[in-house]
Amino acid sequence: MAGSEGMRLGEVEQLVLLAVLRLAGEAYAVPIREAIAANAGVRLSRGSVYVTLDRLERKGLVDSWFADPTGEPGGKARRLFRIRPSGMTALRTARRAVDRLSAGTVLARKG
Amino acid sequence: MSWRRFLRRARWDAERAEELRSYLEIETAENVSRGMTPEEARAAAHRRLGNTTRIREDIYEMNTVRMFATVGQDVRYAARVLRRSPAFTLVAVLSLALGIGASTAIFQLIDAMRLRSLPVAHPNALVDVSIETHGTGRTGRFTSRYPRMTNPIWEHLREAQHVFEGVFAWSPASFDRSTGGASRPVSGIWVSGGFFETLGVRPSLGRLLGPADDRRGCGTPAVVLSDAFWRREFAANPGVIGTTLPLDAVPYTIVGVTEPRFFGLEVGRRFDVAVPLCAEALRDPADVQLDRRQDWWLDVVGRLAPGVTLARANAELNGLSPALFAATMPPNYTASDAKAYAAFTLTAEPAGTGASELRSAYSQPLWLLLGIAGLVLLVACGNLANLMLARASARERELAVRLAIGASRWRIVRQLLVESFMLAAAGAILGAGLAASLSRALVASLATADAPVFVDLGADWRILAFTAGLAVLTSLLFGLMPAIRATRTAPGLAIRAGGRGMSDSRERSRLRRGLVVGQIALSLVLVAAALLFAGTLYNLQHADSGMQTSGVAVASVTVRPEDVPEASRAVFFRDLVARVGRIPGVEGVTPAAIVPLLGSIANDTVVLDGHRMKPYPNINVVGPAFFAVMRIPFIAGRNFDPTDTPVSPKVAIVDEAFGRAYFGTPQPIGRGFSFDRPADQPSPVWRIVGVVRNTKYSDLRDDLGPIVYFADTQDADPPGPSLTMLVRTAAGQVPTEPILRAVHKAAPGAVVTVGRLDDRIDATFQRERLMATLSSFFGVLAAVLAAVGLYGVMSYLVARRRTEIGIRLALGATRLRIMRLVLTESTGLVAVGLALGLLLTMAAGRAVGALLFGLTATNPWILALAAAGLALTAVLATAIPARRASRLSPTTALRED
Repeated sequence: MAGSEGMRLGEVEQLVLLAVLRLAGEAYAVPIREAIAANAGVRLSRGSVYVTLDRLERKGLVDSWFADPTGEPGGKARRLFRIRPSGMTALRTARRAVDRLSAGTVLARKG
Repeated sequence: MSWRRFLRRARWDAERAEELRSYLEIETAENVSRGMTPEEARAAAHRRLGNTTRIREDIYEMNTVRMFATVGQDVRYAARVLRRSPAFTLVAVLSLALGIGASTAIFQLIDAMRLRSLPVAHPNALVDVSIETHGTGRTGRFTSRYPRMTNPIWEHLREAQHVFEGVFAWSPASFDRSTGGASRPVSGIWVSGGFFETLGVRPSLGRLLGPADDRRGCGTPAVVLSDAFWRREFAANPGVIGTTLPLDAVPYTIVGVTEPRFFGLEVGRRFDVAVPLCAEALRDPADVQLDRRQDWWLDVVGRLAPGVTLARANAELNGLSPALFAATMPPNYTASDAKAYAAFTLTAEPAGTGASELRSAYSQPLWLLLGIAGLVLLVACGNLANLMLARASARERELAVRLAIGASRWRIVRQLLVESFMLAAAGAILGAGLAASLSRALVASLATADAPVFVDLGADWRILAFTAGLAVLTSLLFGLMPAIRATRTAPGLAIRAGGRGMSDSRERSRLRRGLVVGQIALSLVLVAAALLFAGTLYNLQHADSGMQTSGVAVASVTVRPEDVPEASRAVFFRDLVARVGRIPGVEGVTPAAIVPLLGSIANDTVVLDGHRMKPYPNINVVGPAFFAVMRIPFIAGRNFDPTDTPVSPKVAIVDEAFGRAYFGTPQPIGRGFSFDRPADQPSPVWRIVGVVRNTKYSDLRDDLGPIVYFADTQDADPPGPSLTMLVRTAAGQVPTEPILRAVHKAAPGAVVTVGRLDDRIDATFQRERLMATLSSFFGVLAAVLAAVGLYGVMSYLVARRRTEIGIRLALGATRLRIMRLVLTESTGLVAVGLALGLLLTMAAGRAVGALLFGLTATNPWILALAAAGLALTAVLATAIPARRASRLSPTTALRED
């Protein structure tokens, strides 16, 4: 029952992956959580965002790197995330599954 | 791989803390650049980021809980399942507890006797020095439990060696602290001056013995007490330091008490007092062992100097041997003895685990018992595996539903294993408690009245590891296979099967039958072992020694020189024997140099026509009444009589084996022989005047061999301070009081012990008794477990064939036929199991051969008896399900489907 690419996504994983995709280049933990809250109305705990990002990285669906330190001496780095091709595939698979399952069903009452 | 996350939590947390800190700073910096004051900027950053500690805690917890939540669920679930079937749980835990407890108890003893090091500083640097005789033997008197050295050898070695940082000689000895009356035995050790320093033992009170205490001619010698003795006999009174303790009527000054953990160098025993070697000269001034070059009684232990390897120590010892043995040559050795002695070399071997008579006597039996206990545990595991399989069938639907709704197979296997492990853990905990008392009972059973046994049974990491290992191993043994089997079912099939659990059941029942066959086979091995050891004990207790030991008492009397001067001892002892003979009820009394069957030996080399003969005959010096007291019949010739005196021609009485060995005739009356003596010593010719029947000599296990008896009335040497008498009474009672009165009337300070000879002999069967008792216990346990296993399988098979049996009955089969049907099935299993067991028993027989007496491991009667016993048990175990099958009502059986 696993996805065709052998990777099944949980709901939180999907949300976080989509947020990473949306935040392209600015995706670190704080804005990811904010993006999810703003767009999906889901308030994740801060810890679970970190844990989910760690898990996605371990599964090879996202990459993380430390951004160049900001200008000033001794400056600190942010850990930024970027979605990998396999992450895209996993998202697509999940999306297709939802689409196929919902095809022909009525999800919302019309007008 | 959640365990890996679990273990990495700490590192991740550090990384995360760093990351959060850097976010905070970046955010603050950005806010400042947006025009906020630094305080505002920081506060805003904190608001946006949230409580960093809280975040870290959350992450930490998530990584933890993921790991344990599921195991926690498994444990709770398993606990619920086990609680729901209390009978199963009880049987499982109890049989495991018995198996694990017995194994642990025996292992605990092995650990204490073999594996554990001495309670001294750095025991691994200690080496034991002994003599390599290069195929020859040592000649002389061997007077202790570890007779490795003579004192002259020790003194020479002490001065000549350079490889040891410290070296000492010691010898176990028994002392008497009474000053008259009943003896008060004290277990002591002779120690040289370097003993405590070399071992690194510290005093808990006062001081220990040093080189200054061990100088030849020590006047009032010092004595050191063990902590246990000090507490037991002196109520831990610190005031004992400086007081006097009489040992063998010699006054010693108490100077100190050793630290509590030090029990001496002998595993299995505990010393009470340590006295300097030099004091040996005071014990019996007429017989000082210190100067005797052929008295072997000391053991020498050294501590390797830093940087010295065992090989180097051996090389040096080897190098100094020729000079050492040349310098200590005993004066009156024959030429052949002297040649052998000069070629001896010293060797060193590790001594860190101490000396132990107990260890050499019991290590093989204990390993064997551990193996037996292990087999019992295996049989118990077989039962549990069977039970688990049965439960798995019953729970097939439950498991199938769980598989169907998405549980992974591994998850279910793990859950079943958690159940097994909880059972095993409960069994191990109960077993550990059982082991504690069982091992104490074991130690107590090794002790005899004469030789108390002390074994330090404190738990150490080895025992914990052993018990824990057993728990894990058993849970895998009985849990893994059923768990894998149980989850192999296709869920749809099991659910559809309508609760009947039909799927895969043929394979599973084959497995269950296989388990029962294995159990029966192992049980046969154990029952046969039990019978062999019980038979050995019986054979020993009923062995024909050639004499009659029942009704005989042994009385030992030791006199003080103040009471009986050395010159008048001979007369005193003669009078004493006569006085004991007049006690009402006493039929006969005789002195004896060697009490038969208690392990003591004296022998010598017979010379005939100038030729040294083999074998050595055993020797005893006895009074004329000996043969009547021991009921040894005369074959020919005469008994000793009053005409045999120190000045009359030397006479001897021999047994038939003696005549056959040296003269080729069982009745060599009138023939003469002599013993091998150095050229400068007289070697009288002994004339044979009587022949008695063959008897055992020192040990019931020995074969009959040549024995020669001499008359104590011909002994010209003055006797020692001790006399041993054999007393036969009409009613077989032990005349302790009358003997004490008879002795004390003449010598009030004499020390007396009296006991039944049979009791003393019986005490030498300790090992056989232990093996017989424990192996019987294990054998019965295994048979019961196997019977339970067989019962379970047969019940299961009958239940599975209910429909078939119902149809048969409906079609007119008689109840007898149905019973036979079931019995035939079980007979097949039992027969295969017994055949396999016989093969196993034969193969295992070699391991026990040396411990048997009067029978061999392949004794057909024993094997047949064991097989018959097990077969009978098996029939009884099958009878219940067979009866149940025959009582089945065909209508009910058929309606169920």
